[in-house]
Amino acid sequence: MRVLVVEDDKKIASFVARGLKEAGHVVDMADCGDDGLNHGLHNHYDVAIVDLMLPGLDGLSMIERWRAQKVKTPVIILSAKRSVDDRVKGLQVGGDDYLTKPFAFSELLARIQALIRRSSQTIEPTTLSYADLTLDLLSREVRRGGKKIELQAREFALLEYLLRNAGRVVSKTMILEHVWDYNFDPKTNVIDVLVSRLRGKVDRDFDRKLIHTMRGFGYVLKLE
Amino acid sequence: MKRGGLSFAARLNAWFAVVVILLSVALFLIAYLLLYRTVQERDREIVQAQLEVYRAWYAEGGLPSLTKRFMQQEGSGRETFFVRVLAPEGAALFASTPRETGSLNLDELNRLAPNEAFALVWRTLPAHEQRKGWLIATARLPDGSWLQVGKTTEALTALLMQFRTVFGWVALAALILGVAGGAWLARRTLAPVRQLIGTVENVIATGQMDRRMPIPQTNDEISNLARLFNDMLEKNGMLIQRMREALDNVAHDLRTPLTRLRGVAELALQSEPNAQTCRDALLDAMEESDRVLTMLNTLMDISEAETGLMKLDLQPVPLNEVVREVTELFEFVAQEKSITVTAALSPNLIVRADRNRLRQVLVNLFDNAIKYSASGGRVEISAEPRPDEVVITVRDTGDGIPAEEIPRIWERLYRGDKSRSQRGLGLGLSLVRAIINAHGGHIEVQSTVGEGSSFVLHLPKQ
Repeated sequence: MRVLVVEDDKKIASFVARGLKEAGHVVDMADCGDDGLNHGLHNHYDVAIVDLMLPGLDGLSMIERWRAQKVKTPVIILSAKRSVDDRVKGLQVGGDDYLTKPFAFSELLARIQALIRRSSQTIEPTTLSYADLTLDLLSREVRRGGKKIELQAREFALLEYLLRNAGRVVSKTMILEHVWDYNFDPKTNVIDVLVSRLRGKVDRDFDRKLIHTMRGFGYVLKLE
Repeated sequence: MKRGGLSFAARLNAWFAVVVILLSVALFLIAYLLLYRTVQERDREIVQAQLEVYRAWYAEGGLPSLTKRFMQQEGSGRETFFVRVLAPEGAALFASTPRETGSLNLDELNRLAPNEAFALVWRTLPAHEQRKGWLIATARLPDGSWLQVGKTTEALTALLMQFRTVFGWVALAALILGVAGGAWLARRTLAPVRQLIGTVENVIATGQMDRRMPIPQTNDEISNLARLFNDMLEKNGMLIQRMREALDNVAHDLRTPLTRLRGVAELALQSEPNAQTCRDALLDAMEESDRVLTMLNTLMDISEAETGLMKLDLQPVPLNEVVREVTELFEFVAQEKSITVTAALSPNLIVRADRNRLRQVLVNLFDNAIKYSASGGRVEISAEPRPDEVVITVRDTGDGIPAEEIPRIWERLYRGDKSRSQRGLGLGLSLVRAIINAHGGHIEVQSTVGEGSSFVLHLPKQ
């Protein structure tokens, strides 16, 4: 996938670019709004990461001009402003997602994947599976190694979210957003408890563990 | 004040002068008209009286009698009045004009043929000379001939002339008074405004927010404005003061975790180079930086709520729905600790609140309640309506708070002896109280060590 990073802070730009390259993406960089505008208008990108405070043309205006020129590249806005108003404004001019600085790179990566998936409009599968684990979205049945696992609604939602992001780390913030629809971090241990319950049902009776805690990042579903 | 054209004072002044002048002119016109009509009426009466005299003479013996009596009368009548008798077809039979005949334009009079329809017809003729006119009355005599009597309007013209002159002087005086009075009035009226401008300029130039303007003792709009302005200065000053304090606090509060962050890195650098130690140190550093970020965000929220800068999206919120969401969030956490969560709610409770913030408040209170309750305890939320507020109580059967700690639990970063062993920042209750206060409500706590605590929220309905 080809990604455009429009960011004027050199350190952040290079850390994002390096991470994206490691994840297998092709990265172009621009350090000001006018440069970013040109890149976006003349090349096709699968996703763009745009800082709002840029020298010259600011990020919001740049996105607006792209949208006016029918550039449909999905955009993730990076901003140090965290108020709801700023978020809403960013999404109104044509941003597709909003991430506040400082951010965890794993979260940025996950959001990029989500956007690419959404914009490529792949047909929704009715079954998610990873290793010997399968989750049927229609019958809401979960099986591991042929053995049926009974899950409560939230446990099911969490497992579904982990399966959709199999192999990628998801942060607690993202889990809160997708499993409970909370857009603030309540600073509680509810996620730890939910994950440990899920583990008890999905991993306890099996030798190969699937759900892992990544200290400082969040959780990941993968085979060790 | 001098920016952009005429100053307000000059405009006020000009308006005042214009009004004075317009009023004077109107007064003059009315007086002039009244005077003119009165004097003209008097002249007409004189002319008509004279006409009656001549008509009587004519009635005695026709034209000869009239001419005879006319010649016999004293000079005054002949000198004052114009008299003419016309045959029915219009030829002059007799005419006498005062000596200043030049002033009566007979041609003009002849062209205006007497009208038979009227018993008495008035005409005013302009004279050759300026400022002189003639008032002529024409009457039909019984034998069909015409009798005309006239009188110069010289006296009237002179009087009006004099009136105009006098008025001219009066108008000049009024104009001067108007301008001077206007200037004085404008100055006087705008003095407090100038003072206000002076104060504002001073505040802007020096940044001294403690400057106030004197309030005039008039109890009118201006004193009101001055009072409001002082109030605004007061409020701004307080806001700036509080923001300064908040900034100081935040800076202070961040120093501790930042010191810890630096310490972790320093310690790792000092120890033997070892990949695992470095990894652990980096993980510690990352967690510490997340803590700093969370703390900063929460501190900002508290400061914003306390200074009134927090944006609240106030809407009627169905309380029961929010409570259900929150109890659901904690369902598993409570189950893990074998804590029973019960909700006793009156149906259809609506509070006016920011839904997200209200949820945040309840989440914080629930988190505390479960955190500080031993296994097998109970957490209960109840809500009931009062005339103009809704009272929400979150009660737990937890450890309780020692009486001496109760006043301090709302302080930022304060952590009681018990709570130090638990995860948390010591900001939850500060945030809860700040948000509730920003909603116009208040929160209180009752607690007994060993029995549990009750947090009681009072939220206004409207």
